[in-house]
Amino acid sequence: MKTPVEQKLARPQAPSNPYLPYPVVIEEIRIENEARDLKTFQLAFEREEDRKAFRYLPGQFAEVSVLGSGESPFGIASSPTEQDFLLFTVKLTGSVTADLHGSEPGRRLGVRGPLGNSFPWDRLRGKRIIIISGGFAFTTLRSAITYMLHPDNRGDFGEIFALYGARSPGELMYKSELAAWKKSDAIDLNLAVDREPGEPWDGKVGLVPNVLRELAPSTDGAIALVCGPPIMIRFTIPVLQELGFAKEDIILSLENRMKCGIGKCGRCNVGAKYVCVDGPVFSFAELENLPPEY
Amino acid sequence: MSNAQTTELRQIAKRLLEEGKIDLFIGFQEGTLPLRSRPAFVSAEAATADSPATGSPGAGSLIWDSFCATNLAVYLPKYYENQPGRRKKREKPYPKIGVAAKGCDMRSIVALTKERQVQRDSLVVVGVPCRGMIDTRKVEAAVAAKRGSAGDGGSAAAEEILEARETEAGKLEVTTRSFGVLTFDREEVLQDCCLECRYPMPEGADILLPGQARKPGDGGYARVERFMEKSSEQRWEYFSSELSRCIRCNACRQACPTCWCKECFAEQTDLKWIGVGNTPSDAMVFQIIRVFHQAGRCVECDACYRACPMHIDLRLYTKKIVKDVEETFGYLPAFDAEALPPLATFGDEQCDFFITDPDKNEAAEGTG
Amino acid sequence: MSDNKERTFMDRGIIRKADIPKLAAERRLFAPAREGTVPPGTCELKENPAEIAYRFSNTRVPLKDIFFPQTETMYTFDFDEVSEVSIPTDPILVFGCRPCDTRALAQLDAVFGPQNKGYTDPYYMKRRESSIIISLACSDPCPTCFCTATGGSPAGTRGADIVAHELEGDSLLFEAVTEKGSALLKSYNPLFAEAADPLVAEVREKDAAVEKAVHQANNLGVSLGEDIAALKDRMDPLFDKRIWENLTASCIGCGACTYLCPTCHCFDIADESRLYQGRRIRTWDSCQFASFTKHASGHNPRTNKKERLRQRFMHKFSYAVENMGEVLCVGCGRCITACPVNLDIRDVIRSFAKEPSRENAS
Repeated sequence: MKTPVEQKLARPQAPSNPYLPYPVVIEEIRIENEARDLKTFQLAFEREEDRKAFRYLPGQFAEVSVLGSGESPFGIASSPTEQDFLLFTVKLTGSVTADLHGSEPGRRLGVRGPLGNSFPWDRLRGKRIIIISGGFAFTTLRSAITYMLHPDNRGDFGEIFALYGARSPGELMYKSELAAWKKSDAIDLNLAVDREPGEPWDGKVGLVPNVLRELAPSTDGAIALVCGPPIMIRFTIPVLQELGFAKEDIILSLENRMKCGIGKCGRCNVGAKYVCVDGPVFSFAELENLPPEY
Repeated sequence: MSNAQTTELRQIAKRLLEEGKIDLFIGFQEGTLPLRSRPAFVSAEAATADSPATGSPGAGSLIWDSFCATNLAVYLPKYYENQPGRRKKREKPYPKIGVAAKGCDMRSIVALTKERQVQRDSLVVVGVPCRGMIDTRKVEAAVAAKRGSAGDGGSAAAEEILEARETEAGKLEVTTRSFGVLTFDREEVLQDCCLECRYPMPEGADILLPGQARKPGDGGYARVERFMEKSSEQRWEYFSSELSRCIRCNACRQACPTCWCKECFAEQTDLKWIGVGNTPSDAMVFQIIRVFHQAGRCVECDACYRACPMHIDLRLYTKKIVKDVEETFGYLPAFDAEALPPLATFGDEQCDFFITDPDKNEAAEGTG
Repeated sequence: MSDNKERTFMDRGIIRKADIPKLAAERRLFAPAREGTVPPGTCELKENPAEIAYRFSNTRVPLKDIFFPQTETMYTFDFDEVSEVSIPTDPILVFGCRPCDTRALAQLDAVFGPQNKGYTDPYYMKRRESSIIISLACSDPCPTCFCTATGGSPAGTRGADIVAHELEGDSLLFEAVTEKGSALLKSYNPLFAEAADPLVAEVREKDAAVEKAVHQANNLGVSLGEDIAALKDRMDPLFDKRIWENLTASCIGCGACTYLCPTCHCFDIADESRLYQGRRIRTWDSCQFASFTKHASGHNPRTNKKERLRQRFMHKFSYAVENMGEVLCVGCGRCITACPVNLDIRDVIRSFAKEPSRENAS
């Protein structure tokens, strides 16, 4: 049963020019990590009709435009239940992100989207959700968790188990959300850092795949959502399979270099699938049939 | 078509592969188009025969003829580049590669050796005394002239040519669809770079094939000099009209053996030197910088010129840079692996007033 | 998707070559011409040429350039204010392109149009919608033409509004394939003479002979018109096999094949600005360039040219079949003549045609 938010979505009505961005303005910029190379941008639509047209589900992404520098695809970190703004967490990597990181609130940007498929919400309903994430890939999972924990939606899902790891405590993102979720009964949140930190730490210590093996969440009626750097994914999948997950029940989100975001420029394909329209969310079963070019 | 060079080349390649002296031989095999021979990569398994199962040509497919224009040195840097995994571990030695080389190819190999892009002692160079290579475009132009430049009779030149064959007597017989067999003297249809070539003999090759190299030419600066006599407006007009056809396909860059940068300046986004489209200024600046990057390194093989699908007159500009470097520094990239490239070196005797005393009057002092 | 089936035409007529420019009275005419081409004698599609060329196999630059230019402005910006550009919708008449190129255009329509995931590319589609395409059937294909192997034909109709055939004397037979073509014939009725059945039958006979000749000249061991997945079924199981090393060894990674290919459509989007005023442009790009798939992090899913060249062939003969039911190759042969090292797509096709099909593989 779809919520009102979802009813208007899966594929929004395609705009007449899908390359034109919606104008948005930066409301707030938050530094997420100690290294200060991860910033969350809170964006507000300038036009109400754009805000209404931008119907998305957790797992989707958007192309954020920095006029003069270019566009970059980012997973949407806000949940559709947070109706007044969009959140994107951006790592400083290249010329577009550098321009973005140098911004101040009040700067106008552009957003194209929502793009891509989302997490498979139709399948996730009624299931126990096992979330595994590492590093700065946690962005769309912030969206997913916020969405599921919303009072309108919580009843649709079973237990939620989340494991989120980073190099050190300072590198964990969304610290205020994490603090709230730690206290909540609605989600079993486990945090991990790679090595013993030189500060008080009450979470787990170890690489995510190892901590997952240790915590061994039950696979009963569960689907796993995995988002992380390629190396983490490579070692996490065998653990999930050991625990008893079937390949169709391991859900991943891919990244690839993108430009158009709408399946025309030919750049982001993995085999016959375009990450921007057929993905970025794929099951492990689907990925096994694709060439390892990602 | 067999000749002494072909026979010898096959035997040498086969022997080197069988004796384990090389893991791979890079030469030429018959092309699929008339007037073209194309690169062949013969691996050790294929030493004795063709290997249709893997699709690799055998040593028996190697040929040498007047259609072997491609500069094979372009393939070498890739085999010696530092891959991320190789940085720390040298357990796997560099591959041993045999390569057939004309004079220009050898000069490129020497240039690449100086720039540490190939390991000379992992190469076995089979030098070919070069008689010059036939210019596909000259043959096509001659066939087009047959059709007549006025009017629309006959099919287009390239499609006219069905077959081309070199004869023992030094002729080229071209079978056409509408005009029967046309016969040319080799010299009539040789590439300009070969007619002008000063180094047809690959000095420093490890093994030399039999045969006589052509007499060295004069370097071909006369055309550049004539061009420089034109007014700057005329020269600009020519340059911009030639470059107006550029589609930014990068064939010129990829075909050049000494264009080996992993990230070309044209691809950098941070800083962004030029745009990626065919805006006239972008196309022109790309070519200007590419040619200047070849200063002291270009061996005048015309690979860029041949590769360009839009037939842009690149060779005028590459020749100009070669001439400027020779006249300014007395340097040509040839066979001496010890000769230091002028744009990569700076000696005590060279002028540096522009750093130490920028207000100095350079005209009075002269340049270094 | 084969063009080799029985053709049905809507209207037809005979027009004198001299009258062709009259058809473009209110349109921009693009036709093959030799004026100002380099080298002299080659043919390109020129706007409003003084003399239209008929004796050529194909133009060097394909038809895609008119609807999908090498560089075009998507919109301009002044600081953060975006101004849309007006996409040219002046009516275009293309005359004299070849059936392989019109077939390629139909395939590009399927990529840029809404049937592809619901998104329409307005820059391409607006130009397309206001265009009429009159192709010129081939009588003299070149040795590198292999349209029949890909399911096309030297007199194929797909993608054209009207197919023209040269006749004895200085006239042409026009046969309309679409409503648009029919409407053109009707609106220029006075220029057309009736085409009698025997004449048309003769034209059909000649077409069949040319088709047979092309097929015989370039029999590649597959007939994609009859079995669109014939190559896919053979290439898919061999994705990570040695065959690709050998086929791609001589590639130098230039983009010439992709740029001159009538169906290749990969593009880049980039910003060009001075301070903060500038434009966002779309330019051709090529999967053969090393940085095509390189992430900002430096990770590159296709690090070497074997992988990149394999992508080109897999896209054309496997992925497009899965996604669009098409083989994205029309057999025009431009990639063969453009390749600086004579890497021949026909060799690639033949190599795989010899392999067992996935269904028959043990």
